Amino acid sequence: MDSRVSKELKKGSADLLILALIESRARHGYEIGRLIEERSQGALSYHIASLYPTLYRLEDAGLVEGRWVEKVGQRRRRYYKLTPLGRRKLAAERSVWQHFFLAIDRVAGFKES
Amino acid sequence: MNWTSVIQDEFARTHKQADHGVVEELAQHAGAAFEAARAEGASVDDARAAVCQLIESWCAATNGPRRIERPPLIESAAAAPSRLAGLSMDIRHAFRLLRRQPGFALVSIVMIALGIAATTSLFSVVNGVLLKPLPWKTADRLIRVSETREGSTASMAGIFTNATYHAWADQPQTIDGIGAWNNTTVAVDMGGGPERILKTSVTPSLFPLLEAVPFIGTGFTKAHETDPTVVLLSYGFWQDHFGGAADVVGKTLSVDRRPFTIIGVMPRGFEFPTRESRFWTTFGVSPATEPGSDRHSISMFSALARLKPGATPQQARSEAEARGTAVPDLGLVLGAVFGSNGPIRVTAQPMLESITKDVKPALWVMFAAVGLLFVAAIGNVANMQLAQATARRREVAIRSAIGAGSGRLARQLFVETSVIALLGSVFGFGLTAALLRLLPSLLPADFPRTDNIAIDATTLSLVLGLTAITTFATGLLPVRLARRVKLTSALVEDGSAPVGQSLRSPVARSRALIITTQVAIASVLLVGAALLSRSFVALINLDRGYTPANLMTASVQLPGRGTRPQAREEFFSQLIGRLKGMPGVTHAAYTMALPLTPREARMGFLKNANDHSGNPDNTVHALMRVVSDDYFAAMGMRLAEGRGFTSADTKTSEPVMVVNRTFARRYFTGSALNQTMPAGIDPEREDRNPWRIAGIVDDVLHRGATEPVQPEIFACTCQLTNGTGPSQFLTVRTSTDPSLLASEMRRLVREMDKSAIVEQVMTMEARLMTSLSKPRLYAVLLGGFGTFALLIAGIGLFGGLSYGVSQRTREIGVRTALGATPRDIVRLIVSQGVVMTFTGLAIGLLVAAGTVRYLRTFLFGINAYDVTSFVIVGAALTVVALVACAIPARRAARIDPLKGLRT
Repeated sequence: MDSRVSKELKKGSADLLILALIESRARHGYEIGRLIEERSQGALSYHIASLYPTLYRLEDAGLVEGRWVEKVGQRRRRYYKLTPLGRRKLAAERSVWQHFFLAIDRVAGFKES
Repeated sequence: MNWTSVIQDEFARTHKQADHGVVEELAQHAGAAFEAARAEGASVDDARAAVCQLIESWCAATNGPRRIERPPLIESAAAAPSRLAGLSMDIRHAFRLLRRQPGFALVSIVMIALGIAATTSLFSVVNGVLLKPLPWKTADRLIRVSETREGSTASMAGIFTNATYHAWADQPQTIDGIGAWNNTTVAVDMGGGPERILKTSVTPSLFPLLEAVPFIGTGFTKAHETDPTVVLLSYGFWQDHFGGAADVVGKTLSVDRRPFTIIGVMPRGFEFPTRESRFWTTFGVSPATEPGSDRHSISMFSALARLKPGATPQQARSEAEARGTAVPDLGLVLGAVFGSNGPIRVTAQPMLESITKDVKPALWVMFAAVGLLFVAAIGNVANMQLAQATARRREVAIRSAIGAGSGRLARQLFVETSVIALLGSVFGFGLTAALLRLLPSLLPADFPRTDNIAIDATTLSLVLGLTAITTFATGLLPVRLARRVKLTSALVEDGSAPVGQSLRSPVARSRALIITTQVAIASVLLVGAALLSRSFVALINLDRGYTPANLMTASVQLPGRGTRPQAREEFFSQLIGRLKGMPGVTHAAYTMALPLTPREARMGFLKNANDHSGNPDNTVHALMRVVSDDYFAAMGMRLAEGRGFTSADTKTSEPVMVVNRTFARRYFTGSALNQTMPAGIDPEREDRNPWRIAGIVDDVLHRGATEPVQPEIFACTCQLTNGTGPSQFLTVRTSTDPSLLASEMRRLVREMDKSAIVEQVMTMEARLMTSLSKPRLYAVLLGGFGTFALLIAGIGLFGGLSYGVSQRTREIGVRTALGATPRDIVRLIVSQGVVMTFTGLAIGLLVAAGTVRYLRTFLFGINAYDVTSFVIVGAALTVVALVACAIPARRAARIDPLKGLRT
């Protein structure tokens, strides 16, 4: 696998990861970061650095929707949820990417219990 | 640490711009990451360096993010979660538990489904047959009236005579009016060959009492009484045979080869007296005494009256009896009809009651039985839930320890049981729907109002009610338990310590109570089932005075030879001759009325024709049975004295008759043999010789087993001038399987006369079974309920004891280690089951003894307190209980003491 493909894959895998993590419910950025770390057992901690840029990019692309949520007595937090477009993208990506990366599979293939 | 300014500085350093939202979000993340790093043991500096590195990477990878701003969502405070929060979680949890214990779930769901299906189906029957109003507008004021004479032993249920009818119809005080009807089966030819259809002839006064008017054409008027050639069609008949054509009025309908003019169509949904009636013709009730003569003529029919508002059936009855008493004495004719010349007795029953009186007590008994069954089934589910709850004490305690409120815990347990209850109800409801579809074919043909049995709003609300009861009954106990769990004891307790046993805990007591109740319910239902079954067997084995086995029967009608008696006699003699020639046939005969068929002829005459003093001892009332010469042999009847008919008896030989024992006993003090009766039995016979009693036969039960036998006179068609009517029953005795004859009989009759109608080709045994279909249904139903209850009790005992053994593993281990033998262990477990069984059995048999009197009306040939039935039930339950105890007891005896102590 040459480096160009690898880079594409990594970029794609980060998108897939984030979309998968907010598939079942909206989450805030820190939570997403923690989950990526936990579920890939550190294998993908590298992505934490590009978490926010990726989130912003996904939001610009209309795949996720970020929104501040205010609760009484708590700091407001920004939650990201999947848009219908994001849901379709995730489904499409899953069928492509699952094939390549086992490490990612562990995250993306695992549905919320 | 102020991460906001660190991030702002970083963006400024890289000459990028970020909006407030982005900075706020990143600052939050940075703060959380710092805390996390610190929590994992990093020093302040290390943690800070790591977070700063993170911030740098964010800024490097971002091009001054600006974002679409959306208005923030305001969520309610976390401190006040909604009452329903987590409900969906509870439901999912419940389903997960079900998947984890599919056996437990399945048994519970099946129990509930069967309980609900049985209860709901039976309720649908009760509702449709007994509770739903009759389909006529004035139904609540309609009464069925019938009359008899005091001292009558003849059962002529539901008839009314013309004398009383006319006496009452003239300006009655208690009723608006009276109407009469008769049902007949007729042949209708619509071009495709004759079709047998039920026709009801009604007096023109009848439909106005029901406030029923045709929706096309006109109804019957008084003028139609003397013009009985008009017909009103039912909606269904009109649709089926005239395609709903609007111009049907004025057309002709051929009924029994006679033309009838259609004058109208009754509206959809109108039925009278039942749905089987396809059209209606009229008849006028003839006067009892013909004007200008002293000749009496009596006619009989069914009748109903409509009460005046405020009048009661009792008032109507009194009025009818008063009017009927004033009627001139109709003498012998009336005596012949009722078998007595005593004072008139009228019954007036609300229509619904009169239609359903045959099945009403049975339906309520069955409904009560099914109610008990439901209780037993639900008890079983509650019991299993309780066992579950006990096993989960630790889980509940742990949840409670980590802060779940008791309400929250109770709700979760309740949701779990509700899911099972709901699933059970849904399946139960589906089962009910399927059962109700099958029901019309399962119920006896003469069961009233079966087409009213359906799932309706009342049934649905019952299902909902039962579901609620199930949910609460099976959910309440575990929930109560959850509320009672003492944290410390439950947590400290060893999971396999002897808890909840030997009635020490309230849970164990509840469970023992449930099992005992189940045994009691099973014994009550089984006693009922045993009584009904034994009674049914008695009905089958009853000596009816003839031999139903190896006997083939059929009804043959000759519409084509309606007017020529000789031709009919010739036809039947030939037919009998040919039947006798068939292989396997030993005897063949014909008669106008077979046992278990409704037709009968009654007669009355004076024993001494010259004694007109009115001496009641001189009056003879009897049923007249006209038979062909081989009848007694064909039926397998027993001759008690004298002889039967032979081919030597002819129209010119000495007239002889055969009587039954009841006749001989009632009318003669000494031997009846060779006594003579006056001429007149056959008014057309040329000689006026007296009739001699040539033989006496044993009594035959022509109707139900409990109806008294009437005095009967048998005369032979071979001696009567006009003895062979157009409608006869064939009886053929065979030496082989009689049902093999069926098609051959049909073929033979058709071959001899194309227009002949052959119906009811069935063995006498089949007729007998049909006549017993109600007792059989009740016995089968109660038997089914009893068996199910027995199964439930068995499962309850088995489950309860098995669970007990698993809970007492350690105790049993200790006992074994201390020297208890396997026998001791078996005794320990079995004794527990035996106590529950015998307590339940004792209670059940006592309750049964107190309630069997409700079965008395259904019992034949056995006492309600039939010891055998009670003993059988006791034995059956004991056997089942022992089997249910034996398995857990064996398991307990095999517990390895070491293993028992280790776990």
